[in-house]
Formats: sequence, C-alpha cells, structure tokens
Amino acid sequence: MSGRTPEIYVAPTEAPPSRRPPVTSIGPLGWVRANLFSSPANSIATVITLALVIWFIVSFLSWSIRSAQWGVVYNNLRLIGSGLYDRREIWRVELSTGILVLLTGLSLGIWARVARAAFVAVLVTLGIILLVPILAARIPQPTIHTLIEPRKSPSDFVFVGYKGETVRFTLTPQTDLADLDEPAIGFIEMQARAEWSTQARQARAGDLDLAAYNLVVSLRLVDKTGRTVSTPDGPAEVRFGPDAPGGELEATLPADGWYVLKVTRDDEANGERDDNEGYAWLRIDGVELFSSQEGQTATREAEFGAPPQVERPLYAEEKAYRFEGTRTFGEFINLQIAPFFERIAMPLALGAALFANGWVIGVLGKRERVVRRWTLIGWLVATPVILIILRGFGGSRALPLVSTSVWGGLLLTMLLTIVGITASFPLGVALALGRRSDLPVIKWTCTLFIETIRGVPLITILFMAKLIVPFFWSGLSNIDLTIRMMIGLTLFSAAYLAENVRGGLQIIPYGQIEAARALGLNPFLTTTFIVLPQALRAVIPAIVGQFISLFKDTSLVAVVGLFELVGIVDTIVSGQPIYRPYQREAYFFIAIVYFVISYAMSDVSRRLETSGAGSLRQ
Amino acid sequence: MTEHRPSTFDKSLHAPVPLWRDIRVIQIVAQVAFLVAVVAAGFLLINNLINNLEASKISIDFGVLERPFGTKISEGQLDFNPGESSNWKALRAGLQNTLRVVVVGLAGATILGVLVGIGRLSTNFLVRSVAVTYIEIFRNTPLLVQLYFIYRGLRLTLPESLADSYRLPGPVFINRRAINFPLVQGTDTAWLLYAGLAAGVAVGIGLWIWRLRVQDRTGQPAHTVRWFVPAVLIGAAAGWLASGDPFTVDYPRLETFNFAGGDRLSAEYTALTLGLILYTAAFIADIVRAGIQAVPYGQIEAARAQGFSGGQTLRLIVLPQALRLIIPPLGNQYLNLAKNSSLGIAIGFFDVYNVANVISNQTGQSVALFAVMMLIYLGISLTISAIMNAVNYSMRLRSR
Repeated sequence: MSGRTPEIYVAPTEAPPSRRPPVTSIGPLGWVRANLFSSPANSIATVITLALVIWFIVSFLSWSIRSAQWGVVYNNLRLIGSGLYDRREIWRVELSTGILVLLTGLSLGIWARVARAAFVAVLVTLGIILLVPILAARIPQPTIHTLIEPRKSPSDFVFVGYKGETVRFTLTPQTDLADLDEPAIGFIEMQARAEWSTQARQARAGDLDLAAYNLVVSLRLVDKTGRTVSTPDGPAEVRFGPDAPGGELEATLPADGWYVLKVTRDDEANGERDDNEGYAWLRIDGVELFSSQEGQTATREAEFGAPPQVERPLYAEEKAYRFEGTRTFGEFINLQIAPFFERIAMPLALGAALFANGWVIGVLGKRERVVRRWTLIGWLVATPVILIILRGFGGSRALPLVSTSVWGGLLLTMLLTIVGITASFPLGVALALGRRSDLPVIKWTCTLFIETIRGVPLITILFMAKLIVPFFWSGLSNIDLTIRMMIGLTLFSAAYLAENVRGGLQIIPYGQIEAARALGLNPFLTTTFIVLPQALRAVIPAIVGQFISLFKDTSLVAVVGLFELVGIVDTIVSGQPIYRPYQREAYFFIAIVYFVISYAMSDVSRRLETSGAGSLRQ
Repeated sequence: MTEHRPSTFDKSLHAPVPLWRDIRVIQIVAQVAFLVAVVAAGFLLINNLINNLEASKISIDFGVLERPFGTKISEGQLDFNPGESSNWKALRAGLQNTLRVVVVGLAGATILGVLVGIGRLSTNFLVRSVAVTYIEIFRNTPLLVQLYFIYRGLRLTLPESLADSYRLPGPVFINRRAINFPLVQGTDTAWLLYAGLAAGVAVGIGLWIWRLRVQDRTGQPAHTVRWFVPAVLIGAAAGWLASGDPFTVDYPRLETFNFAGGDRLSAEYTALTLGLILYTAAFIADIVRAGIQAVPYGQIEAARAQGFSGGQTLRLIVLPQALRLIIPPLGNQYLNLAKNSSLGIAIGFFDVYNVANVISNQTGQSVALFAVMMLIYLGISLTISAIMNAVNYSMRLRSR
C-alpha cells in the first residue's frame, strides 16, 4: 500500500526450539498464581480471607491450648457416654455398642467402598491416641501454688507419689509489689487466688506493709506412717524465714504411696497466732494432680490404701486447684489431651478391632448371599434386642430392670436415632403410598397428617407427646417420657420421609406399573416389587439426609427434659459449680461428636451414590 | 393351563366377577373400613380426652387468654405489664418477638447464604475452602448445640458488669445482657426528608425508564445508574435542607443498674437470630451452589464470548436461570427457619412458643394452648409458602 515491496512470509522449516513453560505457570508457584492471585479482585479476596483465617485459627488455638479447661469433658466422659445408666450394669451398654459397631463394619464392608485413605486415617488417629498418654508421662508435671498467710493455719498437702520421683518445694516470699505482680503460672489453690488479690489490693492501698516480713515456715515431708522422708542431705525438712529466705526442699521419694507435706508456721508452734506478718507462695513441683472424678479417687484408694489422716488436709486434686495464666504446649498435652486419650484409648481400640473384624467379613463375604441376608436380618433384629438388653425385665436377676429415665448421653442420642430411623422408615413409606393412593379417604387422611406435622415445629410435637398425649389415652401416661419422645420423633421424621419417598414415587414411569399389571401382578405385588425398589433407590440421598437431620433433631429432647447428649452436658455445666465457667469447652466437644457422626453418615451416603450400590441384587 | 380360544365366545369363562374380587367394591369397602377406623379412633381419643379432662377437673377453656399473664416479658411490646395485661396480649407480644427474629433471620440467612454459596464456587482456592468448611460445620451440628455455644459459651466471654461493657464507636455498648446502641428518631419535620427522598426515587425511576427507551431507540449506552443516583441524592438533600434537622439521636448512657436511652438488642434475641442465620445460611449456601452448578457451562462461555464481564455473567445470565431451581428448596429453608425460631425457649427468649408454654404451665390449659400454637405456626408456614409460591410463579420459565 505504501509502495514498499511486500515481504513474503516464508514458514520456517524447523520447529522452534522447545522451551520450558515459565516458572510462574507450573509447580507450586503456578498453582498459587492460578488459584489465589489470578486477578486483582482475587488477590484482594485472598489477602482478606487469609488474614481472617489466620486470625481465627490463631485465636482458636491459643484459646484451646493455653486457656481452655477440657477437664469438663474428660472428667465427665461416663456421663456424656451413657448418662446415669447404672454403673454395675454398664456391660449392657458396652454389649449393645459392640453389636452396633460390628453391624456397621459389616454393612460398610459389604455395601460401601471405604477408601484406603480412611483406614490409614483411622489407624494414625488410633496410634496417636495410644501414644500421647505414654509420651505425656515424660512431660514434667505442672507447678502447684498455694498461699501461706499470716493469720490462717496452712493446710497440710496430701499427694500420691511413685518411687524415684523427685518433688521440690519452694517458698517464694512476697516482700514487695513486684513480687505480688509477678504472675504465678500453673495450678493455684482456688482459695489462695482470692487471698492473693486481696493482699495485692491492700498493698496498693497502703494498708499492708510489705517490708514487715517475718514469716517463718517449716516444711517437712512425711510418708503415710508419719516418718520423715530421708534425703542424701539428711531428713527432708527445711525452715524458711527472714534469716533463711528462699531456698528449696527437694526429695526423691523412696516408695509408691501417700505422702504429706507438713507445713507449720513458727508462731503456731509457739501458740502465738498473730506473731508472723507477710505472705508467701509455696510452690510445688513434680507432684501429679489427681482427677477429681469419684472413680479416680476409688482407684487411688484401692492402690495405696486410705489417705493419711491429717488436720486440714489439702489433696492434690483438680477440684481444689485451677489453672492460672497461660500454659505451655507440654502442659496442654499433659493436662488436657493425655487424660482424655487415656480414658478413651481402651474402648476405642476395642471398638476399632470389632469394626475391622466386621469390615473384613463384609468385604470377604460381599458376594455371599448368606452374609448379606444375615446382615440385614441383624439390623432388623438389633434394635429390639438392644432395647431389651438395655431395659431388662423387672425381677430378672441376669437383666434387672434399668429404667429408661436414667438412659442418657450419647447412648440415648443413638437409641433415639436408631429407633427413629427403623420405625419412621416403614411409616414414611406407608404415608407416601397413602398420599399417592387413588382412594380419596386414604389420600386426604395421609395428606392432612403429613402437612400438619410438617407445618409445626418439632418442639411442639415433643411437648405435645409429653403433655397432651396422656390426656388422650391415660394408658400412655404410664409409658415413660423416653418412649413417648421416640414416638414423637418417629411421627415427625415419618412425615418428612414420606415427602422424600413421594418424590421417588413420582419419577417411576407409568409404563412400569402398566407392564406389571399386564404381567398379572396385583397392586400389592406391583408396589412391593416394581415401584418401591426403584423409587427408594432413587431417593437414597434424600432419605439419608433426612436420617442425618433426625440424628441432629434428637438434641431437642433436651428441652423437653431428657438427658441425651445436649441434656446431659446442660446438666453437667449448670449442675456442677466447678464446671460452670467451662461451657464453651463442653458444647464445643459435643459439637465435634455430632459433627463426626453426621459427617460420616453423609460421607457413606455419598459413597453409596457413587458406587451405585443401594441395590442388594447386582 | 387351559388353552384359550378367543375365536369362540365361551360364556362360562366370563362369569361375572364375584363381589369380593371386584376392584371397585374392594376400593369402596377399604375406604369405608379405613374411614370407620379413623373415625372410631378419633372418637375414642376425643372421648378419652373429655373424660380425662373431667377427671383432672380441667376443661378446655379458651377464656384463659383473657386472664392476666404473670411473667415479665423482657423485650418486644413495651406497653406490656406483667400481672395486668392479658395472656392474649402476652401471646401477641410473643408473636411480635417471633416475627422480629424470623424477618431479620430470613434476610440475614439469605444474604449470607448467597454469599457463601457463590464463594463455594469461587476460582479462589482459599475462599472456596473457607466456604466449604463453613457449610460442613454448620450443617452437620445441631442448631440447639450452636445456640447453646453462642448463648452460654461465647456470651460468657463478654464482660459481666455493665460498667466494663465493650465500647464500640457510636457508642455501642456490648455486655452479657444486651447490645445497647444509639436510637435514631425522626423529628416533627422528618416527613419532609421522606417526601424529598420519595420524590427523588420517583424522578429517578422516570429517568431510568427514559434512558432505557433512549437506548432502545438509538443504541446509545443507557447509563441508568448515572441518572438514577443523582436524582435520588438531589431529592434527599432537598428534603433534608427543607426539614432543617430531621433526626435526633438518643445515645445510651450508663446509669446505676442499667443503660438509659438508646435501644437494645437483648442477648437472647441476638443469640437466637445469629444462630438461626448461621445455621440456615449453610443450607441456603448449598442450595445456591447446586442451583448455579445446574446452569450449563455453555451459557457462561457464551456470555463471556459476548463480552459480558464476570459480574454481568453472574447477574444477568447465571442467577436468573439458577433462581428457578433455587426458589423451591429455599422456601423449605425459610419454613425451617420460622419453625426453628421456636428454639428460643431453650435460651429463654420470649417468642410466641415460649409465652404459650408459660401460659400453659400457669393455667394447665395445655390442650387449648397447643391448639392456638399449632394454628399460629401453621399460619406462619402457610404465609411463607404462599409468598414463595407467588415468587416461584413470577420467576417461571415463560416460553413463547
């Protein structure tokens, strides 16, 4: 156009030299670019989300590791597990759980493809749970602080020690404000905390002369019989005072058993109560805190005999102490995680073994008709059998009656769920069929029932089952609350299930029914063998979803007054004053329990969907 | 098996069907039997009810609603006097509280749910993971546990004494009992501002329509927003100037035992509403995700090819199609939220359910109160269903 001779493009005969893609588009850097910083808006979103996530994780970890008191969980595991169920009959709960775990393993082995990763995860978790308590034993015990005051007789400190353990007692005088402000970290005697802050307030107000410090205290470590423990430097006895400030008493324990640290102020020995002035922290290292649970006390007494009788004893029990300040990670493992794992390790290992057995049988017997049939029969029979095992009979010696009013915790939650599922499934299918019926009376009755139940909150139905049902049928008022709640939950769940099943019924082509009729099947056989199998298979995800929400809805019976998982935690945190400040920990824990179970259920349902199972005859 | 010969008509093979095998007869008999069974059961139960009520000397008496309500209702209707106002008024106050929770909850859950649902499909890995985590956590734990965690657990971290309340700019005071915040009230001349605002909006809508017409006629970009916003702002500013000082602000002040002035959201209300929003939003997010994923990817590609931006694609192409799939299950979630609001009883919030429960405990009229309560909840459910059906109808696919 511009008069230049046009250049003719000649294609190169050789391929261009191969180059590596730029570093920014492959590997981790490429991934980060593509997934996190692909556009300015995306980059901003990434930065903001990252900041929020980091803030959340850091504050959560710092709460749960440094200040949360998980004792409310691990000291109450029995209550959380099975409520107030009779301790002597607890084997019945264990047997029932065993049956359910075995059946679950068997069914998963037969019908669901459980990924190998899931098993590795379970094994790793089990390993950690078994290992942590062992490792935690190597972490030093936390410090215990108790306050020695001028006008109150100090308590003698009673504890359990094992042979070869080293315990150390240190007296730290509080002689100026800097000492007072220094945070005492670890377990502080609950009484001492209040005294300490009173002292600090008085010192600041000028009512307390810290310089007039003349507290003289003697410490003597004696064993159960009252003999002074001997150390290489002589008897374990030391005297602290203005002339001998600081210093410490260290002793290696000669045998397993009870020990007492005798604490005496010299003015007490003289009979002059008000002679001493000043406060001091008595710091105790290397002593194991007992759990305050009754069972633990019994174990300790069975092992070492009754604790020594002393005037004003102060047991090294969690009940008497509370954690102050922030704890280290080691203390977190030692005090919070290890006791929990210690308590669940045994049942969990047994359960896992049982589950694995069931799973292996299921996998091996997948193609065997007899295994599949007996698993199904097992599930059908399990619910009544478990209910009978748990409830027992009045007057029976082997299975004495355990009233349902003491059932509770996770046991009751699972029972309500299982009974709800097994009872609401046939009822729901019947209601769905009824609603689709050609017969107007049946159709309208079922529709009315379904829509009424679906229109009101579950809690109304539960309260009705509690308050109104006895009016309609006085025989029912004798049936206890637990059974009535089971009925209420079943009716509620059945109405919702019916709608899910109806959805499945609607997608069956009419040709199927016509074909069945043409083959001479009567309506009953048509429904049983042609319509329902197809309809139910189509709505498995919705049905499992309904079962999951039934599982979550069982929590509402807590409001009506049953002690299932939420109800029992409610009782623990509001009934036991020492756990009242730790409601977050308690509710967080049961939230995890609910989450794990319902997530597992939905995961299995997803696997059923993708594996095309759900059909028994493939 | 006998061999059938259709060619010859053998009357003996076509004997009339006996009555007990005639499907029509069976159907009628079955229905009558069912009806008789239902009616008999119903009669038996009602009879039992009457007998039992007589035995316990309680007769169903809706007159209890006229009797005074003894307990204090700490929020909602302010002209409510315990001991003087009737149970009927108490129920009304409770219903008001329920509606306050439900309306705010619906709005909050929808907004949060849509945001999380879109975030769930983001190309940004981090945003996607956070959304998935949120959905899984809140869907798989019971609402009651969440409510207890918020009301009992998290609330304990707030300062107990009023003097130590957290103070946010505003000032907003947060403590264990309530959130106190300034109340903005219109003065006598505030109507001028509202009138100005309304005029501005009207003019703005007029301009909007005119710009669209211009666009249709000439093909010029419409720039509707550039015309609409100034019109509204000018109207509002004119109204504000005309009214002088349209608002007074009542700030909360700490007195000896409580806060005076301002308005407050009680801890119970806040916990219940927050819990319902967080729980329902997780379900809504999943519905929104499923709805958006159901839109064929070709639609999005086509929109991109036409030069639509990401936001425009979402707003103009994806969401209108996804909404049709989203609205029916969304309506179910709205119903669930309304019904779940009855969990206020667990944390001591005086919603209509809690009030009815208190009345039933005080008077023993549980049957009457449950009838009233079921009617109220059925009414709320039907209203929400009707609205959602109407929305669904207006969003339906119009084929030409």
